Amino acid sequence: MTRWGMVIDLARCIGCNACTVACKTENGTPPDHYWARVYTEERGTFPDTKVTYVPALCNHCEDAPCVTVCPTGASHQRADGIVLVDRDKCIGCRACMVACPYGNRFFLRKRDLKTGYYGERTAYEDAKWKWFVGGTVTKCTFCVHRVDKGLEPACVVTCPTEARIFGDLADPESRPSVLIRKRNGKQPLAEMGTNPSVYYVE
Amino acid sequence: MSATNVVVIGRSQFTMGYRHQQEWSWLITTAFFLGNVGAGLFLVSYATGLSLGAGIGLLIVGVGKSAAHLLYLGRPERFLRVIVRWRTSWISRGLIAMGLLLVCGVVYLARYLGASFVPHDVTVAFGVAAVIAAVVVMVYDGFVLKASRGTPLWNTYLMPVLALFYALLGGTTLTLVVQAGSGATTHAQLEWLEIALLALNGVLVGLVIVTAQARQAAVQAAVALLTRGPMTRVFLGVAVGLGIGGTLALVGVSIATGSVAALAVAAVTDLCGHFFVFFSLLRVGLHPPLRPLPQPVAGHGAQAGVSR
Amino acid sequence: MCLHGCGIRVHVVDGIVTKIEGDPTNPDNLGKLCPKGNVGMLRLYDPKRVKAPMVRTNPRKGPGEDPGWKEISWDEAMDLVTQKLEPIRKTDPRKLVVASGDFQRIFNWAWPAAFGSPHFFSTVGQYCGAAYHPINGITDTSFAAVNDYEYCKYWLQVGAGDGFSSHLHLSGSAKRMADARMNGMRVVTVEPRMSPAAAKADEWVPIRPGTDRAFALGLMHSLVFEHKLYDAEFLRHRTNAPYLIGPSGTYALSPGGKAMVWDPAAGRAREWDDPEVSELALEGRYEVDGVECATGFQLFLDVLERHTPERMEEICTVPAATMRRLAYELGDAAHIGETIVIEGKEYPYRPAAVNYYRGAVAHKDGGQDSMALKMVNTLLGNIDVPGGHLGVPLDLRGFFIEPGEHGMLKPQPHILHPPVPFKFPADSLQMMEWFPLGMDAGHVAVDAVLNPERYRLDYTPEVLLTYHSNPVWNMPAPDKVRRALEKFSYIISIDVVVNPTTEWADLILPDHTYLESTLAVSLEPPVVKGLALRQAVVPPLYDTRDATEILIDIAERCGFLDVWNGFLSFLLGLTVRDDLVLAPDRKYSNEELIDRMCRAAYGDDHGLEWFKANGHMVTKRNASETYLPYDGLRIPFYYETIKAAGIELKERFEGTGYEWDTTGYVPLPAWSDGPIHGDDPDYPLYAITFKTAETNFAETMSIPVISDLTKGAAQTRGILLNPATARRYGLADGDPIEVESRFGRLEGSAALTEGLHPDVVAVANALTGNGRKLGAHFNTLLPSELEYTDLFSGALESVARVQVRHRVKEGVA
Ligand SMILES: Nc1nc2c(c(=O)[nH]1)N[C@H]1C(S)=C(S)[C@@H](COP(=O)(O)OP(=O)(O)OC[C@H]3O[C@@H](n4cnc5c(=O)[nH]c(N)nc54)[C@H](O)[C@@H]3O)O[C@H]1N2
Ligand SMILES: Nc1nc2c(c(=O)[nH]1)N[C@H]1C(S)=C(S)[C@@H](COP(=O)(O)OP(=O)(O)OC[C@H]3O[C@@H](n4cnc5c(=O)[nH]c(N)nc54)[C@H](O)[C@@H]3O)O[C@H]1N2
Ligand code: SF4
Ligand code: SF4
Ligand code: SF4
Ligand code: SF4
Ligand code: SF4
Ligand SMILES: [Mo]
Repeated sequence: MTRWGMVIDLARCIGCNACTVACKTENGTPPDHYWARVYTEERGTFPDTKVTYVPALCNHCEDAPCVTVCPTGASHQRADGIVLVDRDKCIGCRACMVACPYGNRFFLRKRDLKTGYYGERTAYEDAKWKWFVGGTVTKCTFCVHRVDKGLEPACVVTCPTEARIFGDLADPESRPSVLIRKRNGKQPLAEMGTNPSVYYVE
Repeated sequence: MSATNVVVIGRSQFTMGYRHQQEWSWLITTAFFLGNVGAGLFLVSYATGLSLGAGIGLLIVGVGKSAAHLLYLGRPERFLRVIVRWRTSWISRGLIAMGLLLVCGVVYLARYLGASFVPHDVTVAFGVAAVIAAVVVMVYDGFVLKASRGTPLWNTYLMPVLALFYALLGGTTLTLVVQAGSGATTHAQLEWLEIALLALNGVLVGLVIVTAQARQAAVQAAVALLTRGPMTRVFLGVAVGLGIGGTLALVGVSIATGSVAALAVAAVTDLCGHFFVFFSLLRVGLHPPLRPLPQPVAGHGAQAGVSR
Repeated sequence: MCLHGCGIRVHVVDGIVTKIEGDPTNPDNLGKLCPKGNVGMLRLYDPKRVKAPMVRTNPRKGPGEDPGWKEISWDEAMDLVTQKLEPIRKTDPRKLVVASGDFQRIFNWAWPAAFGSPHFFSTVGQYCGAAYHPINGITDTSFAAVNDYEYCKYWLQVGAGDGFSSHLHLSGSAKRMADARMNGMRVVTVEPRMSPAAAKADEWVPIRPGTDRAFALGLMHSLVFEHKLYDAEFLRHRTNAPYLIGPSGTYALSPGGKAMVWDPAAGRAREWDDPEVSELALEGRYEVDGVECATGFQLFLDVLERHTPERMEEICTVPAATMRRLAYELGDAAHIGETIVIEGKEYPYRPAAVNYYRGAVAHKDGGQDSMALKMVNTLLGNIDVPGGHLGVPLDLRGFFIEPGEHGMLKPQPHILHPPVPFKFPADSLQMMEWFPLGMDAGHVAVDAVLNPERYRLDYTPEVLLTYHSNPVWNMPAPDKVRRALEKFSYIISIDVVVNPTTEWADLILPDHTYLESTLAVSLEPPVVKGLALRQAVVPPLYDTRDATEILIDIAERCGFLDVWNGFLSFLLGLTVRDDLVLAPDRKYSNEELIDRMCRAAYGDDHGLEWFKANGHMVTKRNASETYLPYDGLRIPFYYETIKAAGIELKERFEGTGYEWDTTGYVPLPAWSDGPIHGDDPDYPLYAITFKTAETNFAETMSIPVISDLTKGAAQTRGILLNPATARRYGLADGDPIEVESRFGRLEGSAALTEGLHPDVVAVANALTGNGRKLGAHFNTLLPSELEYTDLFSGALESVARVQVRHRVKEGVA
């Protein structure tokens, strides 16, 4: 069985946020909903400073606390590991938001959908926001609509440095699997016991 | 670690650091609080045979807690869906229990309201069921917190224990108030129970703080916010100082002098403390940074602060 | 969304642009897009776009004044334009001043010249490339330059974002850079700030702003005197380093008028192309016909001797030991003497190079900064060879390779427009007549509008036309720019949104956005060549017109269509075929022009229709087009051209009684303190600005996704300070602070980072923008005075000396 996953190559990433924006325009996410985003991490003191750009997205955890705590079954996991929120079932209790260690869930207020990006909705938002329901929680879908068509997620395709590598973790020969093996891929906050499908290599 | 070198980034999605959970705040605290004290009141009143107290308890749960929840939900009209995931979700369980408590509690109390058609055995059975449900309502929020793996401060069995004993404390306090208010004789034992529970809760809260040192950095960071940071006044001042210390003193006065006024004030300080213990625990819920940060952190990132 | 031309594919669903993706068939960006490229449709759907021609009804202008825009028809609008411009065109066309910044339709930059207006009232060159492009053009006829992504193994990046955050075609460059790094290329970044380039580098070398020349000189000192690592053969045979220089600083000429070299075997000077010359002296001082001469290289050594790493350390703060080590690493990595065979031809192989841009050279002595950094490369023999520092042409016209004098490649300092002959007093407000080699210094035009007597102007400018340009934002000293705007009796803007400049306009003519218009582009393409077509993907949303057609219309109405068509024929490359040259009296549509442009470049079967179906003709440049395309001609090491131009300019000013400083025309760089250097107790810190990947100047800041992003991101969330510096001034992260220079001040919140030189305050250009107020705008700190301008290149000083303080504590709030 396929298990979709991603490896993020921190050595390649230049923190450009193309992924952040590509996810926004692919999925038309409302303001403040950054399914893909990039953290800047700073260590050390001048002049021995080290800055690392750490891209993030939903880890599609195998043992997903967001799914466990969800009282309605809106949060669910597909057989291929992709964790989704059913917008027609979610009641907006946000238990999943406090349960997700990674900040990968976003609450959509009804009023945000009215005002849109510019204080008024534009044709773009009308076209892109059809599938958002106010009062529910949104999250990265691993671009299921693309993946199910055999395409790669939008954040992966646009990444200028090819720092995001997508593939089937169940296949030991897939690009992510090989990278994880060769470069000692690490899961974020592995100690949380969530078994993420996203790995980082340095 | 002092709170000033905790990199708390609020909701920022672009700087590495501890993120505040910003979702659960006043309304969820209120809902949890009303569930606690309502169910607690029902339970203690049941035990002491104070049907008025039990009734008020049901009212607090049925009206107060429900309202707080419904106000909070993004899609309140779909609230009935919550029950479907009782196998995994403590929210499901808690709210099923709440429903049970209300139904069974009402049936149980119906007798006292003159509905003599309800057979005695049935009343007893419903009473027992209501009590079980009440206990679940008293602890489930603790389990909800415990289940929130993303917020390590809460991810401990201390949370359900704390919820249970605070609920008992609140129930006891309110029972005392109802007793006093309805002119019934006060049970001295109840006042001593109150003192014992206050002391016990003091110890439990202390445990949350003390055990933090042995736990994850995110817990330590959260505790730093409670004890040396922006939540210190609310947490140490109101929740612990006033809620536990102040209440202990007032209950002592009340026992010594039999002053109903002191008891009334004690009830206020206790409930206030109760509310703010959970409020501050919720507000300092920190999610760990995606990658561990060196400590102490070289003063960058937004300052420690509760708001964004 | 920026001035470059990455290939894109646009999804249109039910007439709405829903997604923009990179075009995977375009070898330029290889299917990648930067954040700006991804978000282009939010510009299209921005409700703040100008939706129809608008006139101002409130005559009062200025911040806080509501212009009272009123929409009018195009006919009315064009009548107004004609009313204003036609009389000027007929009487004194100099009274029209144009500010333009449309790189993609760069041919329109010549429109003012066709009108007869010589001015340039905007920042483009002087803030970035004024000192860069002429040095590139003089060196190897290129417009820009970048290291060889394919073969470079040691990349020293000085004040540039190539491959990481800015400059040429970010999307594709980032990919090439990441691949090169993964293949073991070492990157060392010299920067005051932990930029992405520094963050990803193997080593970050923090430097005090505005002192990169000192660093380059220290590096060369160490390379030459200490490590003896330089490519003597390259200097001897491919540059003018061995040419003999006379006392005036120009070539010592033979009686036949030819440059001479010293033949040590014969013990005498000979003409450079004398077939008898068997050996060439690179160094030495010689007497030729009783005149003391030295080789260019010897003069370089003389200068260099004074620039020891120790002395340079005091200026630039990079430890001498670090300079020595970097010099060794660079020289060692250059593989001097080795060659490589590519596509069947042997080339020198020099896989180490210095790459630099705006941060390093937008300074008072930028010409010399640029020269010094370029010379590190020339010294290593890496110019235009595999692994080295490669020229990049301006557009599809490629390099302008012609043999020059003395066996040299003909210098091309003016790639944007032909040189303007000397004239006193000057016609142009930016005094282009006085910059024989430099670029248009638009900020000088501001000074001239405000102080006409200082420049002996003999006319008064009346009308301003801004086109795809935001001078109030982009120039130094925005307050001065605003005061200059007040001097114009009428302002016309061709733009897509209301920005801090167009809000001063009397009339706005709305242009299509790029998703609504058609254009074939090829601009500063690194590694690739060829036109790409940008097609209108949706019909115009509003009552807008393509700027190209607006300008043609004005040309017709003001009676110079014939002139403009002549210009266009030349600019679009149509002169290659008589049948493509535009008829003088016909008005062509934008699409007709593009069609001809494509056919001129690729033949009749590759017209607009072909491009519409196939997208682009972009291909990778092959080795012979990339490496030493001017093989056989020498390039300068000693910048004699500059010295000679300076001497000539000085002569021209003699007799005018006018003081114009020509001391900046030097053939070799040397250190001297500029106005921002040295101790300044009142203004102890240095303020710098920088670009980020997600912004294109101020412009993209009106796009909500971009402005959201910049508010949270580490580099752009506030005014950057080193924590040690902040402590010294009692500041904490997030504090409201004020930064003040001698020329202005700005406010913002402190953002502390260990990734910053402690002498520095860094302000992202994203801190202000069309969406945000101008209060925190970096440029308010800058002067636009001549004393802060490089009078050789036109570059302005983009570093300011400043102090910082807490706004509330000090009672400023
Ligand atoms: N993303 C993006 N790309 C762009 C543009 C854009 O707006 N956005 N604009 C285009 C244009 S017009 C231009 S001119 C180019 C500019 O391209 P770059 O020159 O690459 O751009 P900058 O960020 O302005 O400057 C480069 C670096 O110089 C640093 N710096 C500042 N002062 C100094 C100094 O004194 N010494 C040194 N060593 N470094 C210093 C800054 O911190 C910055 O990181 O980019 C082009 N490409
Ligand atoms: N503080 C600071 N200032 C800087 C710089 C910096 O790094 N920091 N960089 C400097 C440099 S290097 C440069 S080159 C300049 C560039 O400065 P500008 O030339 O002003 O920059 P742009 O954003 O390219 O264009 C200006 C305006 O064109 C309009 N525009 C956008 N798209 C279109 C279109 O399709 N059609 C038309 N007609 N108009 C359009 C928008 O209103 C935009 O504000 O800024 C300089 N100023
Ligand atoms: S697009 Fe790629 S390089 Fe840019 S921030 Fe995202 S992961 Fe990093
Ligand atoms: S990252 Fe968070 S939202 Fe995503 S599956 Fe894991 S717990 Fe759920
Ligand atoms: S907010 Fe929605 S998805 Fe999240 S736990 Fe509640 S019902 Fe489930
Ligand atoms: S996988 Fe798709 S939805 Fe998830 S972050 Fe990337 S672009 Fe966004
Ligand atoms: S680099 Fe420039 S041309 Fe390329 S995608 Fe980004 S904004 Fe567009
Ligand atoms: Mo520029």
